[in-house]
Amino acid sequence: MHSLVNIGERKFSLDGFISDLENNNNISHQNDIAVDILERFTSVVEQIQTPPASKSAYGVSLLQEGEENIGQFLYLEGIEYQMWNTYDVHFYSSFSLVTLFPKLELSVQRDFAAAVLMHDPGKMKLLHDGQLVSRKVLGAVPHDIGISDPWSEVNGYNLYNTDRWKDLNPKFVLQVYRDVVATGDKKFAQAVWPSVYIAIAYMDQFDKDGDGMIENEGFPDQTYDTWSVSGVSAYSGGLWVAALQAASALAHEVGDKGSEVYFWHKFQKAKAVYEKLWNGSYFNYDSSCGSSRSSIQADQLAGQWYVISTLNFCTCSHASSILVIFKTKLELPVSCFAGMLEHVVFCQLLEKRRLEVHLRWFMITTL
Amino acid sequence: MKVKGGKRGAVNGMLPDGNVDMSSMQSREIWSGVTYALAATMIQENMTDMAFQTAGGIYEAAWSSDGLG
Repeated sequence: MHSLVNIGERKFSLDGFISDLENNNNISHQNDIAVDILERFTSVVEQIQTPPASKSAYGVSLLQEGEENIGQFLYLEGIEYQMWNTYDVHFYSSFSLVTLFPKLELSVQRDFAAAVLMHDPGKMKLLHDGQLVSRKVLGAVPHDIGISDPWSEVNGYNLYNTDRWKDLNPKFVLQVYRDVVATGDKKFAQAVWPSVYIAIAYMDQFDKDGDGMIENEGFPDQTYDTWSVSGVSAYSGGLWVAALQAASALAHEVGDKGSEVYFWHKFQKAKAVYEKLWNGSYFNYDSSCGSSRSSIQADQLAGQWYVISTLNFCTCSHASSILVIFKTKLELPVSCFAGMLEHVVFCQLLEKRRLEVHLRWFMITTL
Repeated sequence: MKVKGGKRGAVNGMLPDGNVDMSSMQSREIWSGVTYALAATMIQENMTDMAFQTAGGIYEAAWSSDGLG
């Protein structure tokens, strides 16, 4: 690890994971992804001494033997927001893609899985405060796959440092697991599992009090990038709880028993903290002491929505084993969502005549 | 007009007293993807009528000939 510090401003990627774990029966840690990752670290440090190779978010490298390369897919976030494959938006629109064009969805996901393993210390200037930050650090899911040089220069978005956003990594994990269930593609699951593991591990730095639940950091550190949030939050926290559950289920799918147990334990801890946001009618916006905590966020059940939607894919897919595991493990954070939803909608109806719509983001139209 | 009829989707942030949370630009906005996600959640909770009212709202607001798009 020490020598990683010494590589300084070099761009690298932790690619080349052992893809066919089942062929390594002689190795006692055959399904231990943590050991595998450490081995890759060592290998990268060795490689980094040689002339730099071009490192990019090219998911083609994750294709397994016998898999067809169908090419890669780019779509713009919107007319005003010209970034490729904006990932927090893809979170909402990807149901269409995986349903209609599943191979394109898996291709997009491989690109993001490759991006997680990238480390690009090239500096970029943030719009909101002029600070210089690394373009993309190892373990962070990028906001987008780029603008002018997609795959090679990710994170076209530069209002805030999205390496510190709290929603992107959970959204990656949730989407990957949803796609595994929807397509039944076990090779895909194996290929992206190291990225999923690292994406979860990366989030540990945001659990400062070590209670299993991540905390937001008092700036708009999630997709609502003008809406600050502090401490445990309904939106990011809910995504985190759901992502841990999905990570455990995916670990089961790829045969990583240790991670399956570990992420499940983390899920239980995070869930217990998350439930403290429940006020009897809805989840408080966040755990801050200010007035903002009482806001009723329409999107507070996004994590819940993904878990149930993934289950719904199960019922019509070939992944029956996943169904059994996931269903027996599924535990909802609270049992009275219907009451909360009525509350949200009731408030919405009360306000309907006075509302001014300043801006609408059409997350579906670009498909 | 549909817009004045009030069906526009779900506001990102509401306050318990029924007012829109005006504390930030995005808490008072309506986003289509979020509204569809919320409507899907309602269907998952067997609140089908409310789900289609909500989803229909953002559809009318964004894409109908009387909408804002």
